[in-house]
Parts: sequence; C-alpha cells; structure tokens
Amino acid sequence: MAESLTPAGCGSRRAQWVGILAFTVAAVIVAAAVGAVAGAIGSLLPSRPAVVVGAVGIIVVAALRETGVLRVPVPAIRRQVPESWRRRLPVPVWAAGYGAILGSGFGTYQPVATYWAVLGASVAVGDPVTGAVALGAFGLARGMMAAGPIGMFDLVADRGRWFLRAANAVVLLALAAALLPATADAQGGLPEPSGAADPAVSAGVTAITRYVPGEMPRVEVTTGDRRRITIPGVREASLSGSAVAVVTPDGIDVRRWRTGEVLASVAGQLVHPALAGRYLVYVELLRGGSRMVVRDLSTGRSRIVTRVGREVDLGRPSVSGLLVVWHEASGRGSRILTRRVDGGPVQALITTARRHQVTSPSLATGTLVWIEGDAENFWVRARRLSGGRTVTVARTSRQIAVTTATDGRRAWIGLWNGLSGRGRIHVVRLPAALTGG
Amino acid sequence: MGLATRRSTADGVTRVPGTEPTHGDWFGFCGHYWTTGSCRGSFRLPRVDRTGRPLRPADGRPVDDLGRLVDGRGQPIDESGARLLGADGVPLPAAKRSRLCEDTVRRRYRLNDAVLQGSWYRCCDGQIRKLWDCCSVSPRRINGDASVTGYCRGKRKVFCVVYYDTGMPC
Repeated sequence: MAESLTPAGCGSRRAQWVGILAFTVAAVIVAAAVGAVAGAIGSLLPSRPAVVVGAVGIIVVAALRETGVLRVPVPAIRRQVPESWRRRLPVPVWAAGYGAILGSGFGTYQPVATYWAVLGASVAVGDPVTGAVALGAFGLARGMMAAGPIGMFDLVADRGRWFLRAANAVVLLALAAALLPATADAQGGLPEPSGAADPAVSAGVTAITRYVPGEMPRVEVTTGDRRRITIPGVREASLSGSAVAVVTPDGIDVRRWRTGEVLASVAGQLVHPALAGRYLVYVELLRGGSRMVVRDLSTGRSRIVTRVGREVDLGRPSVSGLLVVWHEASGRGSRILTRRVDGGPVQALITTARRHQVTSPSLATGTLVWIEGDAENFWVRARRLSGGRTVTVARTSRQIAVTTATDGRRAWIGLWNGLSGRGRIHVVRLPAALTGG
Repeated sequence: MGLATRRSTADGVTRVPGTEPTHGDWFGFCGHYWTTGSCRGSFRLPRVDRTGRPLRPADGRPVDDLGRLVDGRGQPIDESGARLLGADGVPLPAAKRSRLCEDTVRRRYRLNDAVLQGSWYRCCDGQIRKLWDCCSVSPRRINGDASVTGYCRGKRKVFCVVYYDTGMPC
C-alpha cells in the first residue's frame, strides 16, 4: 500500500494527489461511519456501568500490550489491500477502495491495538456523533500517513521503536482515566452500606448488624465462647439475657437468639429497639414525626416515652433497669434525655447547641456512654449517670461514630468510614474510675 | 456576583433556597442548622452524589444540568430508564452533569476557587447525611450577605451548601 500512492504507483504526481485525496476522504468516511455505528450500539445498550468498565479494561490491556507486559493478538484480517485493483481500476477508485479498507480499521494488518481501544471507548460513550469524530480522526490519520513520506509507514510498522510504543501506552492510559469519571457517575445515587454496625451487648454476648451490598442485612450474635449465630433478614439488635430484639421488615421481633424462637412481635414502622427484661423500647415512625414507646412484654401494655416532630432525630434508646436514655437532635441543638420506663418526668442529662451534637447514648450499671460530634471530629465520652467527671474514651476524625453499646466495663462503638462506605466496631475499655474497678 | 437566587414566597418575603426555616428547626433541609443558602441546581434541595454532582432529591437518581434523569453514561432517560426521544424519534443528546460547587458555582458566580471542603453529619430520614460546605475566598455568600467561616479551611469561607445522603442507617 505504501508504494501505491506514489508518483510511480499512480502514474504522475498529479494523479498521486488525486489518489491521496480519494484515499483520505474514503478512509475518513468509513472510519467515521464505524465510529457512529459503535456509538449507536452503545446508546442502545442498557444502562450498565459494566459497559464503561469493559471499555476501560480493553484500553488498559491495549496499553499493557504496547509496553510489552502483555502479549495479546490484535483482531484484524491480516491481508494486504487487493493489489490487482491498481491495474484494473482508475486511480480515484482504487485509492478510495484502499482508503475504505484501511479506514474500516480491521480490513488489514494493524501493528497496534489503539484502534480497538478507541472503538471500545466509542461504545462506552454511547454517542454516535462522538464515535464518528473519534474514529474519523483515525481515518484522517491514515490519510495523513499516505500523504507523508514512506518512512512514516516504516515508523509505525516497526513496533520495536520503544518511544512510539511508550507514548501510545501513555495516551491509552489517559483515555482510560478520562472514562473513569463516567464509571463513577454510573455508580451515582444512594450507596449501600457494608460492614458491621449497631453493636449490642448483654451478659458477655455481643451482636452486630452485618451489611453486605446486594443482600439483606443480618444480625450476628457472638456468644461468650465465641460461637457465632446468624439471624438473616433483620437488623439493629438489642440483647437482654437469652433474648434479642431485632428490626424485621414488618416491625420488631423479640426472639431467643440461640433457637430463633419468636417470643413477641410488634408490627408497624418500627426501628431502634432496646430490650431490658420485660421492657421493650422502640421508635415508631409516624407521618408527622416519630415517637418512642415502651412496651411491657408481660402485660402487652404500651406507654409513650416521648414524641417529636418531623425532621427531629429521635435516636436509638438504651435501657438499663427501669431507666431509658436516648437522644433528640434538631436544628437548635441536641440533648441526651432520660425517663423511667414506668413514667415520671423527662430529664435532660446533656444539652448542646447547634455545632456540637450529642447522640447515641448507652447505659449499663450506672455508666453512661455517648458520642459527641463536631464536624469531622467525634469523641466518645463516658461518665457516671449520677454525675461526676466526664471522660473521653475514644476520638476519631477519619471515621464517623454512629452508635454505642456498653456493659459498664467496656464500650462498643459503631464507626463508619465515609470514603469506603464501610462500617466496623471498635471496642475500648472504660477507665476504672467509671467502672468502680 | 449575579446573586439572582432569591425566590418570592407567599408572604412576600424573598428567600434564597436553603435559608427558610423548616421542620425540626433546620434551615432549608434536615441537618442544615445555619442560614447559608443552597448551591443552585435544578432542584430546590441541593442533593449531590459523592462526587458533588446533582441527584434528584426525592429518590437520589442522577440528573443532568437540565434536571433530567440520566443513565450511567449521562444520556437522558425517563422514569423507566428508557432513553428520552425527541419529537422526531431520535434520542435526545446528553447535557452536562456539572458538579454543583466546583463547576456550577465557579461558572455562575465566577468564583474560580470554589471547592467542597468541610463537612458535618446529621441523622436524617434514618440515614447519615453528610452536609458539605462549598467554600470560596469570596467575602459574600450566596445569600448576598457576609460569608462565614463554617467548616472551610484556609482563607475560604462558606459560599453555599449541598448534602450527600450516605445510605448508612442511623
């Protein structure tokens, strides 16, 4: 081919330029058409991040092939252009035919995989015009090579030229990097939580909620002898002796965690259970807000602990003995409150304004643990319920502290990593001054 | 600065979206406890994804600068996920999906240093909401009055705010 579009191959210098023009126009038209078809195919594919990820994969493989790390064949019809056309057809016709074959990209031998990388990117972008422009540039480059000195063919054909291959690899990787934001866009929307959250503890037994993307959450109960019992399809466990309260799709169940036997069920839009003996405390979501309810499981009678309006965060309660503690947070500030399960006044234990927020208290053996947050800093504090010095038992600025649990000697903290979207549980020992030890 | 963001209300008072008192004593939306207005997008609520690009507040689906639902490649789609077609039956072209702070604020208000910086977290609708300050060295915020430091770093101050619902239950 390289020798065809020369004065000798075309018969004269004028015929050469006619041939080059015909070759270039045909190469651009055919290449652009292939790109438009690729973009159209991409636009018809269902919306899947896999298309973008697949294109990025092709481009990375092509780049690795250029660097010599990978040895993969390039799909192509490994033939020369039909030499007989030159003898039988006028210059503009055979030159245009050659341009069409080379412009198609796969009609002849290709030393590099760049064409396929761009073709994959055109499918991923899913826009016929963008595909036509991208592949049209390929056709134009073919024409420029035909117009250039024969040495240009040798340069491209000689894959041993390390700088050309390295430059090609860099450009390909840049193309892959340009597509990556599209992958991120494809993942937009509500992310799914993953990892461990919502710790609970009672009498040496612990429980967490395990989130796995694409699956229903499950509660994992770990016994004192480190045996793990899984309760599928539920979340937000609260332990009390041999029983566990969990949030189900229909409400809240109280079950024996060892056998799964259901001891009690409460239906409704219910979250945040806290179980202590015969008392089950939970939050009921209502149209105009939410309310906290304590239910005596032995009598079935319920009593409202507190009620809040819309967009006031009524947090997960904790029950110890006859006392329930919880937090309420609004635009004015946040409070940790307490009340007896059998009635009596609501008392504020801790109050903060706007910036600082106190949340997620847990109570056991007279020790209160809670989270205080200020923008990207979170402190886990503890003190005796009766008063006294407040102790900071943990601090984090890289993760968000979400919930706490305590047995009076240790604190379990549910942490969430904002970058990875993954939760985990951190356990700290409480100071002896708080535990009486 | 082109601060034409005020909107009339029934009581005749004009307020920048994000500054009006709401349920729970927030301003504009749950979790926002200060009076800085929302970064402007196609919706009143400045909900964004983790890259700062706009989402439809009601359901968190990605939208473009025209407020149309888009698929993973930015092509406009309808509620069922099918490509939006023009009157001639040809699929409508994609529009930009600009980041509310780093792209739209920079372009609309000519604040070329606008960047999402400090953030804080609140529990809203049963999940952790990340509230994000769009920060700039501009001495005025989107409301038109003097800007406040908020959670911005360096010499930047809060120009407007956006939020990101994380999906993490709380």
